[in-house]
Amino acid sequence: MAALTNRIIKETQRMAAEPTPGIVARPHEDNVRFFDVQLSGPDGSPYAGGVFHVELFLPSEYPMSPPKVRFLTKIYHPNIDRLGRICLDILKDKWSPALGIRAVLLSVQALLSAPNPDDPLPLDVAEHWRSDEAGAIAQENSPPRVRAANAAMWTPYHDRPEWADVTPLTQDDGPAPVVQIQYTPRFQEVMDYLRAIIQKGEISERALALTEDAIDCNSANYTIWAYRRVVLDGLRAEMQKELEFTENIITDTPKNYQVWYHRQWVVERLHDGSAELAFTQRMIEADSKNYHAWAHRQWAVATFGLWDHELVALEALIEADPRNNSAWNQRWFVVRSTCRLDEPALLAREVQYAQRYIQQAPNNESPWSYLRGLFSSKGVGSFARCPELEAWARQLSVRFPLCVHAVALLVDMAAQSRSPAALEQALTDCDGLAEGLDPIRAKYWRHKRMALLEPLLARALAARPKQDSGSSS
Amino acid sequence: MASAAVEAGSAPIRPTFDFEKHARFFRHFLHHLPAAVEGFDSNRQMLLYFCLSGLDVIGALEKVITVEEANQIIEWMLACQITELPFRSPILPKLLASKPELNRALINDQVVSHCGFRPGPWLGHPFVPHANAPMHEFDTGHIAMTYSALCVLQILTTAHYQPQQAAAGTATTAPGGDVTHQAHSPLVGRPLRELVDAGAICRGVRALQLENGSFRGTCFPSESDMRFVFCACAIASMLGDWSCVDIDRATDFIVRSQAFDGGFAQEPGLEAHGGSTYCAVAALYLMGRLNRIGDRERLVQWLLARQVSGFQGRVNKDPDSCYSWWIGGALHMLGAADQVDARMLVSFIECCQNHDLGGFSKHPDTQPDVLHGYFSLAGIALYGPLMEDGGYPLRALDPALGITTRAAESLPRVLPPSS
Repeated sequence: MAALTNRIIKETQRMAAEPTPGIVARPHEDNVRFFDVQLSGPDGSPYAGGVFHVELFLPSEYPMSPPKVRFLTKIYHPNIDRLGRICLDILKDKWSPALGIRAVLLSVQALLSAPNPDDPLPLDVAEHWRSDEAGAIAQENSPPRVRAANAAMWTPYHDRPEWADVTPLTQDDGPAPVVQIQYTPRFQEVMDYLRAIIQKGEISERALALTEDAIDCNSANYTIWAYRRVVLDGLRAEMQKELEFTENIITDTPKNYQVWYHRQWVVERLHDGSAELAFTQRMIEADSKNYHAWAHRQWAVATFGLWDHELVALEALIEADPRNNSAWNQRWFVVRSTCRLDEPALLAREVQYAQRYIQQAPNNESPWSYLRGLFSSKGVGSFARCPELEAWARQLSVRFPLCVHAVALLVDMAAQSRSPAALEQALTDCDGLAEGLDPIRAKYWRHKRMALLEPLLARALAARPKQDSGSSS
Repeated sequence: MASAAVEAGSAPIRPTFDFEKHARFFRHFLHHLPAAVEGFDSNRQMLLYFCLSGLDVIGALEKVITVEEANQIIEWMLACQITELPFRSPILPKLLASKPELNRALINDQVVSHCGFRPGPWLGHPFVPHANAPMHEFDTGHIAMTYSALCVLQILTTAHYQPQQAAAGTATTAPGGDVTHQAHSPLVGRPLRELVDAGAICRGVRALQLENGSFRGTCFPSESDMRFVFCACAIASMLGDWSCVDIDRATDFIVRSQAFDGGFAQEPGLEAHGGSTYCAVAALYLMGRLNRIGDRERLVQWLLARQVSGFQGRVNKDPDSCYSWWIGGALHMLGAADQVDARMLVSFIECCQNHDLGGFSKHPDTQPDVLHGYFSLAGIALYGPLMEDGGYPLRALDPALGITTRAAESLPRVLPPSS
């Protein structure tokens, strides 16, 4: 064991003393078997100019077994999968203890210069990737560089014999173009061929493949998507396959309107929304507040009647992050769509649900909004439906004196009830909010105070003649 | 410097901005956009809008863009306008001949619904400096591009060029000594409705409204939401022609999109969002229907609650400079802008200012871009004047149309007929 560790120390020292161009490998402070590696893309390769983050781990059997190496930066390469795993013989059956860390990293770097398309990763890798997508997303950190590498790996259409019959159609920006984008050669050429093929009105497998390339260049181009739908329809393409395609593209560009619209279109064609809850769940795990993912989920739930487990699923999401306002909104949507809020027991259930999370974190706005929504015009319409609410909020404001939301709720309840005592208290509360609790909204609270004074003054004025006559007699 | 900081204890430091640098930033991107923005190729009119409206707000428009250039930009834009002429090379018949079973709903062969502005000449039509026929069924306008283009055209056509400046680019002296106009007469100075085919635009927009009152962006099956309801109303208002909007349906869609917390969502049921709230409020404002909002007090509370320093776009999210416009503009239209902590907001925007390149970023310490550059500037224009020590030398903005009040001045601003 000692000898093995010696070898690791020796190799580490040698790498520090004789640095290799384009490779920086640093051992972790707390684990000398674990290396953070920065690999520069080799000059003249499609990856030139890129820096790729790689992790290298020496198993306890090292050097009898090979190091485990994985790309953390997402990279498009025929021998590297989307989890960053590398298909390289010396990391598997061709490993020899005579090789070392430096030799392995040099080989990985060489693989970038000379990809081996005849030895791609096996298909089951793709399957596994789908099952561990959240992990893969978490590792994505450099989309533009990935796109550049992807672009350079690709064969130009003018070199593809199957496209020889198509004359590319260029963009004509006129004599004085503005907001002109310096397109990459790949973008330019893909669009030149796309323009030509759309103008021909071609419906073919190659047209379908071309739209995929064009969507990879610009997934926000709604026209390309519209054309793709026509081609899919004309080819009577298998929609299940298209559903998988959308999942990949949404994973790459999750905040794009067009990809989500397309997903919806495909699901409608399939007449089957059963995969959508799990799919949006994966997207929400990657970004819990992705507006598009939530909109899609809402659409799927409503269209396919997937209400049964939605509240339970949402409870888990809210429990995991009570500040996830999107999840609270979805709860509102489900409750409003499936329950009658005017049933006292149900209203009480919802009030208590919000109160539980408020008590956990009194400054979390989401449950407060939810609670207040229950009594808004979109809910039961009046705070009078829950007489205990006022005392609860007052108590909370005493227990958590910095809780703006509790006092703000009391002010609005007073404004609604218009009871003189409550209004008097609300004036004091507005002062407290303006002067200390919520200074950023001080002007609003002063404005609110003036508005509350009106009913009090009106009441005082109405009472006045009586007092006058009493005093004069 | 140290003493200034000490003094600042009593009087807060006033945020400062290098507007000249920001003008250079917008001027630069007007011509040179890096490959990194290829994903905005279908939004070029919008990028143009950010750059030009930004220059207009700064007051640098006439200084950095010559009248010749302004005319050229207008020509480039007009080349992107699709008007109601037959398709030059229709492809639906070809498609149906080869695939008779093709679902016709996927491709729209009504020329009228294609009218409006393209994002750019990306489908390859040959350049002509005026509105033209769609190349084929996939060559369509997009409602957001039409809105952006009308804004830019209005900004350019109302720019104040000196008469001799305007003449210099458009007239030459012929050998005989007569002044003859070149083939392209000056476009700057013409009323918007004369520059564009307003009728075709309105009929095109009208064709995009759906049963539920919302609008699609284009005439083929595509998403529809609050963004495009706003675009339709802004187009109607700028052209002074409300025939393109069924205002009862549009109003109904907007009102139904108010969420339980007071803000507006992209569509009914979704989460309240700063962007969609702006679109909803501006659309109602332009239609003269702000009084249809169900719970205006909660809406104002929701908007004000978005201020955490700058504005956040949704509950429990980080502040982002672009909401200076979306949230800030909505509060202006609702008459509640004076309740914002203007200094705090402007100080946040200052933190997003990029000192090397100019421009502003989404969050402090990220890269600037033209969208956040423009909306940050818009936030300073809206809220600078509400600071105790006054605003900055920027032009005021029309919060509903998104152009300076100077540019908006000459528009008809007609409300729809009341129903």
